[in-house]
Amino acid sequence: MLNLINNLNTSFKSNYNLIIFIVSLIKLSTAVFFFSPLPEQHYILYLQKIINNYSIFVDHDFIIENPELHFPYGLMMIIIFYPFFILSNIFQISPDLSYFGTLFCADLLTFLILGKMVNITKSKLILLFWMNPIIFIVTYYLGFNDIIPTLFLVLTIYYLQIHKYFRSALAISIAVSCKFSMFLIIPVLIIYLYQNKLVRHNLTQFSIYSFFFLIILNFPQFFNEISIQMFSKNPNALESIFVKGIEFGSHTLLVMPIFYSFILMLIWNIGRLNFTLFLNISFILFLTIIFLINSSPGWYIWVVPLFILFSANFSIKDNYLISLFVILIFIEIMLIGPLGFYNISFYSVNLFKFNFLKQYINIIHSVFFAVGIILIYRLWKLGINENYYFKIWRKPFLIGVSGNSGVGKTTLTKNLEEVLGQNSVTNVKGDGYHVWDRNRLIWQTMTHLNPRANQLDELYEDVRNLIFGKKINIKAYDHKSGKKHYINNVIVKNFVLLEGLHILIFKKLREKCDIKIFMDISEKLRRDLKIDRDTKQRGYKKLDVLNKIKKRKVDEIKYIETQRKFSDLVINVKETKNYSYVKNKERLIVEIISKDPTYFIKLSEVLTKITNIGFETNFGIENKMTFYGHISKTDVIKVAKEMMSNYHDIFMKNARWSCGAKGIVQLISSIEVYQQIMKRMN
Amino acid sequence: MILNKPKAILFDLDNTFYSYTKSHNFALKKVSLKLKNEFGISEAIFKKHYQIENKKIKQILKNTSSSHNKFLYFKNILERLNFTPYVRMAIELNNLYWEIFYNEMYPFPSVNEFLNDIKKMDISIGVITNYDTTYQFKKILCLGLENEIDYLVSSEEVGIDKPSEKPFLKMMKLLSLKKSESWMIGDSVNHDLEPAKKIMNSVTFLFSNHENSKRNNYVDFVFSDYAFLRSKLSKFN
Repeated sequence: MLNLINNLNTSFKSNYNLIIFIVSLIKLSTAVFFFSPLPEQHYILYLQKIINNYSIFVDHDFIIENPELHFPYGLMMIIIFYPFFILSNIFQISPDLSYFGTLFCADLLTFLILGKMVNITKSKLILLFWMNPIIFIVTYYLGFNDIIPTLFLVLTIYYLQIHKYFRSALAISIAVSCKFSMFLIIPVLIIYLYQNKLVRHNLTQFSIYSFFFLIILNFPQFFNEISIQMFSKNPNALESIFVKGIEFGSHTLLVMPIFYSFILMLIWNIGRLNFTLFLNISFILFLTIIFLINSSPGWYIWVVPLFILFSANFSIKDNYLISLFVILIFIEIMLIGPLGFYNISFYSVNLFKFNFLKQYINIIHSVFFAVGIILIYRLWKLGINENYYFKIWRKPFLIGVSGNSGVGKTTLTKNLEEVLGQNSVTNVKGDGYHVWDRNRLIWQTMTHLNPRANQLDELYEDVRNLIFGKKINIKAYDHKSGKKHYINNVIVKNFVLLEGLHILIFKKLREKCDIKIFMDISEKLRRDLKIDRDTKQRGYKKLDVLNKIKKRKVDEIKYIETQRKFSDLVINVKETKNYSYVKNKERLIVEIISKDPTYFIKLSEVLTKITNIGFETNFGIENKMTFYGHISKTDVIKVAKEMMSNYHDIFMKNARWSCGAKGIVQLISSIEVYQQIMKRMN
Repeated sequence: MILNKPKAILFDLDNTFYSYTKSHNFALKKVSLKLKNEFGISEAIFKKHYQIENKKIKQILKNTSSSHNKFLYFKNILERLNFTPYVRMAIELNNLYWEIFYNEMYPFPSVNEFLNDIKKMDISIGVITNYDTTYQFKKILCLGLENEIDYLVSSEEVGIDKPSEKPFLKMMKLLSLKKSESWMIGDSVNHDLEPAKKIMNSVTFLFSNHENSKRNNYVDFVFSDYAFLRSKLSKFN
């Protein structure tokens, strides 16, 4: 099949528009010449009746006259058909044409939106969607109108992708109002918005809007007796979805709700979701539903765009599996699918003459069911378990930041938090684990730098439990009062920012860290900053600070400096020669020493392309890169996006990047973190 | 010599506000170290090529701001080293040179105070300088003098370096200066003081560390510390 795709690919390279046009003609002519008298003919009658009366409900007499008719769709479905039916009234055109005209427009729009969303070649999209046999047969031959809710489903996903939550909520509400079963996607949408911490803040907004629109768009229907009658008369909507079950002893098990809630639970258990995972999940979910219940052929249409969005993320090799599945669905529709049961004489007599299959139908169906289950399992493994995003978030990522007092550990973790997002970060500070409060006399003989003055064992236990997923009470230190207190019920998020004087000193704690950062700063700058911070923010006296700095010198070398060699990344900030004169903190020199400097070369290229800052690189015993000059915030963002291809999956949409030396430190530590996270893919 | 209160005080920029030589040497050294560390090109070779290119470019682009353009120097040096493709490296070297250069710049002692004094006395401050306007503006910014300088005229915008009269005439126009209304402060007799004397009849101050620098018709005062100028100016208070 793939060879076929590739061959066709080359053969109609430049004639896209012609092909689109020819296929359109075939679609429409099929609809006009071959459609009637097919099972869904009465939809047109029904719609015509309503629209001729300029109403949104059919009148009572009509129902009594035609008790066998049903139209299991919502209000919006009728409204969408309005324009073409009114045109047909005015120009005296066949209502068939208006019906299919509307479907064709929905089909075309879905095609165009998909073209905007997926990153596949135009020819492949034409083959997969525009020439898709499922859509062709179900829509133009059988006359099902499910392409309309599908259009709104695709719109919902499209707006979600570009972060337009209002429009997305509106689109899904319309989809549900067109066809109530679309409601099945809403829990997945909500789980996605909740579990994707980078967009979680939009969940409330999205829920309120969709609730509001759902009420408005479905309200009239719930109070119309005929609509409810119509809906409940539908032979395949309510019964098959919610009622049909397997005989199990003396009970009947409802298949669909059981599997649906089971899959929802699986989705919830994935944890953090990104957009691709959301697409994969939706595809697998719908596929399973369709496979488990003998739903109307219209449902198969829903899966087509999801299938395209799903398959676009995979290599050609993986696509074999997906293609196999599609072929299976196709056979199911054509031979033994729900329509076979629904109106078997139609297929067997008029079209395919597969009458002989009738007697084996149960066996064939069971085989298909089994193969389907196996394929769904494989697709789950492929789409979820092998998804990079799923892989990298199987456990939280611990960033350990160590370094002397006043070197900017907190500034670094704060800067990281500003780009990773508050919802994704759990903070643990070593300060809380000093043994004694500040006013104890012991501090006159001992410094905080001494490991014995810190409850490092307790810190380790807390970190271990936190990563394990337990709720813990972490200790925190209030620098103003000098007292310790507890922060209760802290839970682990995707990142744990662990900072303190002794994070890297002992192996046990050190090895818990996924990246080990050692912050350093030139002595002059440190004094300046420390005096500034301790007097202004923490309320110490300047003389005390100076004395403290002096007293700590020995311990610094003994306990802090020794940690440097264990780090993956050393960040060293230095002042420029003219610093004392110009006092320009934005032009500080940043020097980094990395154990994994593969990104240095690419960074050099990107920096030269985007910014004017100067830099040197040095490979050897120490892999060092030094940055000179000022970098603007917009440049930092540009460099970050260029350096990290999955930027949007890791960093907040409105991540707050800094400028100057702060920006460079933020950028480098982010790149290093990113690099380590991506290693989890293997 | 009796001094009158000037309407404007004009300065040269490089080696007058700050030590160009120091910054330049340090930045150039870093560039050559970068080439050595990253590509093993020895400092001696770099230096040799630099000197040759310096001479050559100055000869070809006589008296224009481009003749000082470090980018051209680096580009040509890379060409001489057969270092191609070199587009990115030329930019990298140029960026590194300038960022180090800016980091190394700080005004000579008392420059700031002197400029403040001038401001307080409602005297305009102009800078007439050879080289690319953008870089000269950036230098003023890095020296922290952006609020003191009223006008800056570069050789780039008039098409020819000092001692041509063009930059001086443009400055006169900008400040509506007439003859004998200004002081000129610079480190070069030929480039700064002589043309200023001839064109504007300025009072001229030579900034030089050599006390016995030769005085001639174009040099009224020689000084090595801006405190001297402050004392001269304070008389008008």
